[in-house]
Amino acid sequence: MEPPPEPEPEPQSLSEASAAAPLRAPEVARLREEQEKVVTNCQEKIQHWEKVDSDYSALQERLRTLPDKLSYDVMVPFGPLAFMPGRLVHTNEVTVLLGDNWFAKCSAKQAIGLVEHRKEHVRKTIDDFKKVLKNFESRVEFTEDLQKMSDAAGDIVDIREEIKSDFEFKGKQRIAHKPHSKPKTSNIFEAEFENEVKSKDLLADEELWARLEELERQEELLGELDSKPDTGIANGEDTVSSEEEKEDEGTGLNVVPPATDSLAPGSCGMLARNASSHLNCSVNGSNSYHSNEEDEDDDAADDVDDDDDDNYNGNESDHTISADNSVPTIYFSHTVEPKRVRINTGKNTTLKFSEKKEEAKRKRKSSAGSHATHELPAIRSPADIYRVFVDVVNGVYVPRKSILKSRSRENSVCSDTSESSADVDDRRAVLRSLGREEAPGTDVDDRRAVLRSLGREEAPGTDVDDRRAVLRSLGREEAPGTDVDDQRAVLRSLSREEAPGTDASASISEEPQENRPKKLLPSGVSEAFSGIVIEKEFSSPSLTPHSAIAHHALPTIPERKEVLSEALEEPAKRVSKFKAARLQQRN
Amino acid sequence: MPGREVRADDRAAPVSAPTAIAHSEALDSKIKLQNIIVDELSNLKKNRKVYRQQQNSNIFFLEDRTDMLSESKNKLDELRKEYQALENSETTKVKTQSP
Repeated sequence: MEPPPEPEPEPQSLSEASAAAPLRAPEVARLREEQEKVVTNCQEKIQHWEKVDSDYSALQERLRTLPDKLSYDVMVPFGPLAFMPGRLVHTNEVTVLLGDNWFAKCSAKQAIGLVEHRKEHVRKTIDDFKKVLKNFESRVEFTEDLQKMSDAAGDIVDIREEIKSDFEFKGKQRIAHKPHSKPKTSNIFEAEFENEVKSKDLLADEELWARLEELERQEELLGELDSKPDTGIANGEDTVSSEEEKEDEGTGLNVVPPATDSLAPGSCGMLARNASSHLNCSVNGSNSYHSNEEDEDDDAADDVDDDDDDNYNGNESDHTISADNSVPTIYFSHTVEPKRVRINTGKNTTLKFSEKKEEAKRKRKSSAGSHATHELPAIRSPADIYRVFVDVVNGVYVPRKSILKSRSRENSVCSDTSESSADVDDRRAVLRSLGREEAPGTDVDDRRAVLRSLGREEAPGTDVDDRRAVLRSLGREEAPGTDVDDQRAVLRSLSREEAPGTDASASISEEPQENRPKKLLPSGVSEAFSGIVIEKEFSSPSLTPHSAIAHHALPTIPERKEVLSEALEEPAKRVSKFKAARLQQRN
Repeated sequence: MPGREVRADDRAAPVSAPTAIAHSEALDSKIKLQNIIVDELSNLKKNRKVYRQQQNSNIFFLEDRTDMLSESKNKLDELRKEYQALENSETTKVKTQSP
């Protein structure tokens, strides 16, 4: 008695399928056929139910007049084919079938009531069928129009995204942010940045410190972008900004590489909307960009492509199928940056660095001299943390599910930590990330104190900068899922190495000193450790107080000492001029 | 046979097809049916019994012959009128379309 739902989903699925796939005449025709089948079916059902309704009406009439006579002369059927004359008596006694072979004896009037109730049900059924019929008639109409349109237009826009199956997105629900990705700054901004570098030395505001940090970061990332093509950044900026809402807090810490990274796909999305023909070029540009980026590798290279974001947004916004467009196929592509960063933060994990990163680092070091590019991301919000901890899986940036968990076992080739600068940097990144992980609030105070102690004691001057660079680089490179504990271990070991002879009193005396420099930190540090960790050379005597402080905050992992010692040696030169300036001011 | 019985089937009218042509065809068949009924009823001898079948069942109720005849004739006339009306509307449509 209910309208059959079966015909509905079938043409529905067909319609959906046809909507998803390019409009092809045979499929549209088939859709139309199916819809017409439904329409016909509905009509038949309606016809049947209307007959039932009329039967009930006739029965009602008969029942109404039945008790008028005591008996009726009838032709009584016996068997399907024979009749014999008879009499219908007890005209007021009616046995009504209630269903399931249950009967009820009632009067004619009661029977009339029952019949009325059944008629109500029948009417409802007829109404439902009529609704379905109407609905599908309109659908048929629409399909006809669609057919006519497709025949007439000839040029149907087909928006496709070629999905490369070799990528594995682990964090499907989440989109991998680009590290340090508060972009929206153009390369022009980079130039300004370089100019401003020198002028910042004189100011001593907290804002200035923040600015210095930003600039430092940008300087680092600038190194990445040296060889990257400038692909119409101006255009993409707006799109990028709109698309990267989730990433950007508007702190202005726009790092250039993310801007350009996101630019290409952003322009992808934007141009797709505009249906411009050079969309494919921008896609290609982004691809080339990423190939460049591979060469340019950097510690902060956890620059996740926010292509995913852009492309998601682009995909969402560009789903229209307009038959009237003469736009050719619009191709989306999720660009990939196949960098691999692994940080050895435990017994079995290794610190792996891509050789290109090392090259880039060396290049940077040579070019910048002592101004090492610091990849210290300013963590100003919880989202920033996720920007830092981005993993690279098969060349694709995926968000890490937990920044507290180690992913070092995945894709890791467990080998001894080499004594290359790569490892050093990696460990630095570990430290830095550890510093950053304090933001989430686990043992925040402890670690913050530790790290601050490490960071504050910049008395030695250049050493401090070096160490800071070390820590920062370590923290940044730790992207692929180092444990908090591991990082803590790294940090601790670092601090331990720095202070072979712990002096508790010295450490205590350092405390007030810590507090003062604390205020000098940029305002963004308030909620999280912004990574201004100042590493100490384990050889320097001033490290003793730090280690003492570190000690009671974190236990050391002795086995990492030798590893980290090597790490510490390397960053000695990697202090940027800003850092140097700042440290000097602090001192 | 003392009384031949004629049974009048009370046919349920089919749902009119959406198109006018189908509707007119259905009407046409109904009209033919009614014609036969009327002819048969008018051709009955006086002593014949006429039974009417209860809808959707096999039971036949005895009815008066004259009443049945008049009823059938009325029905036939109605059907004819309807058919005529339909025909007229179709012709007017055709006339409006043709020039």
